[in-house]
Amino acid sequence: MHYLDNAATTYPKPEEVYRQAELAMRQCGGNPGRGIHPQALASVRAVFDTREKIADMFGGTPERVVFAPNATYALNLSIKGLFVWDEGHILISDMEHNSVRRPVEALCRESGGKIRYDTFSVRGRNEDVLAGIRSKLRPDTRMAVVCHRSNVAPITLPIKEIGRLCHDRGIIFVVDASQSAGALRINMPACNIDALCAPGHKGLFGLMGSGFALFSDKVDQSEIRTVIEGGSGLASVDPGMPSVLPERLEAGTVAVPVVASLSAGIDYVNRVGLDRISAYESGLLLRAQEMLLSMRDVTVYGPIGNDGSAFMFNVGSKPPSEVAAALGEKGICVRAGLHCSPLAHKLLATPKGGAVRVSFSPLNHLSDCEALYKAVREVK
Amino acid sequence: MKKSMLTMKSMTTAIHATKILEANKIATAVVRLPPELSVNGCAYGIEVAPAYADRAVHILRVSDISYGRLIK
Repeated sequence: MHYLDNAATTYPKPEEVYRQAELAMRQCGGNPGRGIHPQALASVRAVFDTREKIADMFGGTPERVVFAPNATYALNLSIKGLFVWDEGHILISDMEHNSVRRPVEALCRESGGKIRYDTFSVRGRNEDVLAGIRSKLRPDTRMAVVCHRSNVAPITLPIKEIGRLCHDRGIIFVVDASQSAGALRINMPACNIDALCAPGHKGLFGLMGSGFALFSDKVDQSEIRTVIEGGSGLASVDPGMPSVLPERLEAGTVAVPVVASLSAGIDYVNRVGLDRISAYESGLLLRAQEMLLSMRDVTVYGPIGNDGSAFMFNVGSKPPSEVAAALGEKGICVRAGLHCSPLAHKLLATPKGGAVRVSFSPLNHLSDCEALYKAVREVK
Repeated sequence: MKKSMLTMKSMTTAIHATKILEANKIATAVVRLPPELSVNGCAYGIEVAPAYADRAVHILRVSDISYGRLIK
């Protein structure tokens, strides 16, 4: 079996991730923050351990790490939590995933048109992207939400420069690091990021069910609008959520074994090293692109040779779903369709049914590229 | 032996504080605050030996970990 759907979730995980999850299941039996008995404290310590590692990795503070079931929830918490106005303007890129586009659309729709958004182009060099952002800014632009790296093509945005632009204009900057966390170095203060959102289960190798939003120390935590309210284990008499993070945005029970697994995943990434992971994935990507480009009737979308871990292709006019199904029967795990990124597909001019996506992790090998090539040749 | 207590804003901050203090060789215990100190219910604190209370406060301040108040 050749698993090439790591942009959806990484598989397999490093062994230590499975071990850590099992250890937490067996030794952290209490609900974190719901008591002070030994089992509850074991759980809250395990969860805090992961908060610390996330904070260290991205230049934040442990208390500002808010766990969520996935990056989609984290983005909803961040976008709806930080956009505290009844009107205004939001900028997003023209390759955003639905986990950004849909909450922004919902905010606009629920405001009755008082909140509006525009997209800026990701085409061209960094200077072109920044010029495009400047051209779309309005006096009432209050927030920019940007994916660091696309989930369907090796396109990476200059978040440091975008962050500086936002900072200079007092614009809240939210970054979707779903495809870059665990591959690219991200320092929140250096990039002027107000909220960084990522899944735990992709490049950080935690189990599915893990994600987080990391809020900058500059954000007034008591002013963040809550999206979900409920039990927090703190100040129970108060009808509102606590004024402090993370409890303000973590209603309900945190998934302790899943969060603990993320701790081991981060250890793995730190041990291998971001630069090595990024270079390795990019090498596999380029090899796979070259192999597929050598075949007639195969179209590869997006830039060739850029750093990244995901790209798309189609075989002639065959529906991508049929190609993916045929590849699946040969043990090649890929994903077909629009990949929850219709904006990116429109940008890359894929046909109506989308395309087949291949995405690597550092646990893939050159043999996976060779198997893909052989299988696509047979499917043709 | 009567302990000194630092009231904390949340369980997360309490755990953060215990890690820092224990790394500085100050033994701690996480406790629920008594009703008279937890106006809104469900609040937490850290107990330390009275001899280490002032040092604990200093360490938390230097580490930028906020706490409520010290009760000796």
